[in-house]
Amino acid sequence: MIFNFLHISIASSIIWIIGIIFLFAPGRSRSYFAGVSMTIIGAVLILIYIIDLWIFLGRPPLRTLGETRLWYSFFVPIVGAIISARWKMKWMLLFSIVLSEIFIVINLLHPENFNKSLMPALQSLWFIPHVIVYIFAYSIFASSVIISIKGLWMIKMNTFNENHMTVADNVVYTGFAFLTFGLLFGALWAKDAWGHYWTWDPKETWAFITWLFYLLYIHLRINKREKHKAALIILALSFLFLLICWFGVNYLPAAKNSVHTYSGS
Amino acid sequence: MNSENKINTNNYCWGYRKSFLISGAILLLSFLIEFILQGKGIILPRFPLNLAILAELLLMIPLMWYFLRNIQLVQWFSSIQGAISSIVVFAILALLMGFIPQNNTNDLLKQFGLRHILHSWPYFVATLQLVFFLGFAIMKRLSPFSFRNFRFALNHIGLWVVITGASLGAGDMKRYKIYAYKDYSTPVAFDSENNKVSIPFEIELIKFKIDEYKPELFLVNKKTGELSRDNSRKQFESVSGAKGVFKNFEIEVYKTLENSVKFGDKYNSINLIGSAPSAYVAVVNRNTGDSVKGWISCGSFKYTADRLDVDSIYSLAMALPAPKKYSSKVVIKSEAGVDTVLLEVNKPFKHDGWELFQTGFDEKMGRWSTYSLIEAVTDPWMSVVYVGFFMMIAGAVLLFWKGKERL
Repeated sequence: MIFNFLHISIASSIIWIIGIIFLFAPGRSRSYFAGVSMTIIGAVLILIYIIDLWIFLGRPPLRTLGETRLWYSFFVPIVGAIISARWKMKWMLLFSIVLSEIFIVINLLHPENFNKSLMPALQSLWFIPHVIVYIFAYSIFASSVIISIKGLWMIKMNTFNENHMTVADNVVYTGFAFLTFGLLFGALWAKDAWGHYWTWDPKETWAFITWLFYLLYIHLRINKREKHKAALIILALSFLFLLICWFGVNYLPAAKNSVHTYSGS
Repeated sequence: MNSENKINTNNYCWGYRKSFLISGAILLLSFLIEFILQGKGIILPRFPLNLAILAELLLMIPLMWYFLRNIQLVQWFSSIQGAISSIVVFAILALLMGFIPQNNTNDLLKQFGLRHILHSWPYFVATLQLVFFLGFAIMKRLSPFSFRNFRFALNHIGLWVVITGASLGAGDMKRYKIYAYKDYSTPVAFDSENNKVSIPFEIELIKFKIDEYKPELFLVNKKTGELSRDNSRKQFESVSGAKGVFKNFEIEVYKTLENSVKFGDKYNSINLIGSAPSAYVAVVNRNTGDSVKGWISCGSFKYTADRLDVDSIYSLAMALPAPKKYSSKVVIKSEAGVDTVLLEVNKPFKHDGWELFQTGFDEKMGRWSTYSLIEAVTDPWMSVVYVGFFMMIAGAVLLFWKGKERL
């Protein structure tokens, strides 16, 4: 491999810190454009490492938890930058970088083994779209949990603004679309690989729970538009279930027999 | 939105509290029914009963909507409060499924159906509620139909088709395991409870082929059993000339054999049943300068594995190779004809209403597996569910494309 993950993550962190400084600098040094650019550049460095890893492994680096965390570290700042630019939210950039750093640190603390093998069930055209679409959806929901926490904080501090919910709604609609793609791609793939599109495997069950809770948020926002606190709490709770689906199934006792636990380490 | 026949649902009395109370009561009642029936659960309806149920739903919901939509009960069915309470009820059951292992443990949970939620009264009631309420929500929004509601239609009708199709079709779906052996045409299959069932065709295995990854080497702590990898954390494959460092040991692989058996002190290449990969390695201890050479092997179902002691604590071991690709050439005979087919993972074969999948092999025997595990699936309602899937995918594209519209 050309690149070392520690070096890349240090380089990304330096660039992100520069970006944050530009974002919050006093007076004329402040530059939103520089902030967004640095966020994106830092993420692109992670992408370069991912491509390096892909070539080295000879298979898409989408199989293990560590590998999916890597893609997350790339997507979260990119999605955060898009949402931040679209809705003019500086703090979204900051929190996206922080979240990405958390996942980078987790990867540094739990270095994975480079395993080139890909079991036969994963050798399918569906592998890449299913996993990538899911990680992308998860990145969008990372922004939404940041939005929900900020919203609840604003309610507490009495600085709440109705526009905040508009942003939340739009982010969730986009995330939910990709979450639905991921769920259905998984079902279509499952039919090819295991003979049935849905077997209530623990991973599938938790994916469905996650999907249902974001669905619940969307419906809570149709009527009773003044119940913001309840909606935001559900939004935050949904992310918790998302995390359980992503990582938790490997540890829950109900999931010992899951066909999805192939972290392979 | 309906224009002339608009019902002002914001003013009708059944708010969230009442909605949750009723849904909650129905759910608790269903648990009670399950308990009274001693946790035996429900039987999935099969053809033609499931088709009859579908026809009934397709008639009943529109008819009730057109003739009874002014009564509060039906207004509740089609309301957002009703939708939310039915989603919550379903989510509660899904959460229970997520946390409670679904197995055969005979405990109090089983009495309430919590060990087999998918075949329980609560699940039946929750699904029925969802299908009902979703159906009425569709009726309310889409009569009369306007193209402005196209996205709503795709998402909601799509979901209705998926849930109804999957739930009603479950009774007609069969998934059977077939152990296909060489030179033996078998019409026998096993269901999920390992009961013997008969299938309308016979399968004979002509050839089972498996490609394996090269076996990996590990350092084993003889006392704790802990495995260590190469210090670079890269896979150390058993390949001629491979060099690596495990802790303070320098390893070099001099020679590898793919199929071998131990004769005396060394391994010889031979293609006997049960022969296994082996490697001749040299290990140098960086700290002491000691070196040791010898053969290691992952063994097989027939021959024990061989490790090389490198010092008093550690030994070098070879793991069993992982499967890379496997496939089976089979002959399928039925009234519809004879097919000779190569079955591969992720590449099923359709035969006479059934689909055949390469699912596994005898993993204990590994490359010497005498049977190929094939799964035969028939699912007549699959096309129905797929229509729903594609409607939902299209609906999701529009969700992303148009975002939240102002209602």
